[in-house]
Amino acid sequence: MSTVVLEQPRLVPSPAASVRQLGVIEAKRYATHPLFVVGALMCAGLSIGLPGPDELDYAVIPAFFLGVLGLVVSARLTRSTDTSAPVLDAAPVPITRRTAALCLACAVPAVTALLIALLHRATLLADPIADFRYGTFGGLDRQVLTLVLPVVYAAGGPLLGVVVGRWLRFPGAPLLTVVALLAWSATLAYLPQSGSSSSALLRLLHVSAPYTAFAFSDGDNVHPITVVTTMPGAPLWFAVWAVALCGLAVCAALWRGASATVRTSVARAGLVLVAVAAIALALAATTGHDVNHETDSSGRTTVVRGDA
Amino acid sequence: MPEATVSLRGAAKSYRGTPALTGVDFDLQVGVVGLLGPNGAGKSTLLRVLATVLGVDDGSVRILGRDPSVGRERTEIRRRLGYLPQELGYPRGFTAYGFLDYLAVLKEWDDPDRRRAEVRRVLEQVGLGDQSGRRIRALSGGQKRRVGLAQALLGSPDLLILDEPTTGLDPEQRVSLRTVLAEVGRTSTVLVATHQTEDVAALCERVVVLDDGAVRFDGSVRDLVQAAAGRVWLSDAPDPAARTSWRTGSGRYRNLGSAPAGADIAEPSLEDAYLLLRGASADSDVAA
Repeated sequence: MSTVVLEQPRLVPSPAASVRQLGVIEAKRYATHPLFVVGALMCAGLSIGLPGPDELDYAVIPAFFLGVLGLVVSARLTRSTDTSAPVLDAAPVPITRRTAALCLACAVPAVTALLIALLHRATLLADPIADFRYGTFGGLDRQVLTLVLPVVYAAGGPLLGVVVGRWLRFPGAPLLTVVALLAWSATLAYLPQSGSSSSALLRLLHVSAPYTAFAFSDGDNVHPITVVTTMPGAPLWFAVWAVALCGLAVCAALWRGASATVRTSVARAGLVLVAVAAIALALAATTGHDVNHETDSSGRTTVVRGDA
Repeated sequence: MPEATVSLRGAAKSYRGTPALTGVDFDLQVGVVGLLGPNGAGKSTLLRVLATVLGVDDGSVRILGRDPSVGRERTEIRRRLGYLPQELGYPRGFTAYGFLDYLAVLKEWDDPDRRRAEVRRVLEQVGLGDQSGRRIRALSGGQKRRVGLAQALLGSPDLLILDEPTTGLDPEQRVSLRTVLAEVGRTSTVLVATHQTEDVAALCERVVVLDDGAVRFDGSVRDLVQAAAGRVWLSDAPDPAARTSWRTGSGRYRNLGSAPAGADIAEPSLEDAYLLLRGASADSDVAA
């Protein structure tokens, strides 16, 4: 008995088309997720108003409310279709394209962070802060710290969430990842604050955290700021490092369930990103200040030699 | 004989040494075929193999003229396949329409207008046209099952594989489903695994009975029923020698097997025939 092929003429769509269509669906799901809505409102509320004491640390707001909460959102969205896996697995569009669509949906928090950062910028235009509060950072670094990094953080957390959703199947995996991420960042973000900032290893550790700070001040919401301390590290290269980490997260997510062909492409991209990340990390640690610099309200800058 | 849409030769599958399928041979052509068998017979495993989500350990499988073990051919098969698994969960937050729209994209319906029309068509086909905007979570069990059926019908597949499609459906919905499947079965191959013998009797010309991972019967429904002729009896008391005996709504006892004293012969149903076949399988297992 021969086997018949009941062929019908059919236009097979391009992979990009299905990723785009799925991306739109996933983006809508992301944008309407309650945790994202709450996070975005909180982020906007804290950004659009009086500027905080550490303007150079503004990125912490979108990093937490859009990045960290976004990790949980995207992990849940990724896992949410597991219950339909028998049907999804029998569909012609493979899991890698579904994963790619989830990664595309991470543009939602990124764009939200950009819009909020621009609104925050508008707030500052109406009520400018003194120039010394930017420490020793010039125009480009200021843009990176207050506009680029908020967007990168807002996308990076959710991208990591897709990785968690694809690879970690135990309950509470997103929360555990959040705790690990916060612990990692909290440990390293202000590492040079003590003043022992001339150590190369310390500078490397400081900029290796997924979130790190580049300045701190002596003031707070009650006490006026008189001195801003600029810590070692180059924000621009740190941003490249953070973007490379985002790219590696995409690669890790795509790896799950991928065909051999896709894995080859992902592995190549991953190797390039590892190289970029390593170079960016090295440059982030070596091309900025090697010690803390203090800038007072008169604009005078003092080099702080290591006290450790 | 019409040519085969599905062809299995010696298909075998084990889970950690426990055999689920042991050398299954059969062909499927256009039409509706019922798949009967007890729990654990291997029905769901067989359907997963045919749905290309599970490979066999041994033997050959050809589906729609292609080899599902080859990645590119597997994708070709999936483009022309509809599959309703036994248990289908739904992601939170999706409406019936939204879920089907999502799956339509996964089935490569990339043109938004055509996709929307196709989703509406299948929703109407399963009688959920007026429920499309409701969240799946808020639907009844039967309605959820129909959403599952609707996704399998997307794109009018050449091969439709349904695992317990009537679970949770009320009698009217089941009749409606039979109408839909009979219509689909005119041009496509439909394989329906079920425990509802009346659905098979009402819908299918052919039935395959699977037990212990092997095909115990493969033929027309009429032939299976005929095999039970003269072995179904109605009596006033249960027959201890009967393979199976139960009290019917009329107060008399329906006995399967040899005739008890004073019993009246009864017209066999597919369920009777299936139970007798199962009894014979059990006997042969004991003898072995």
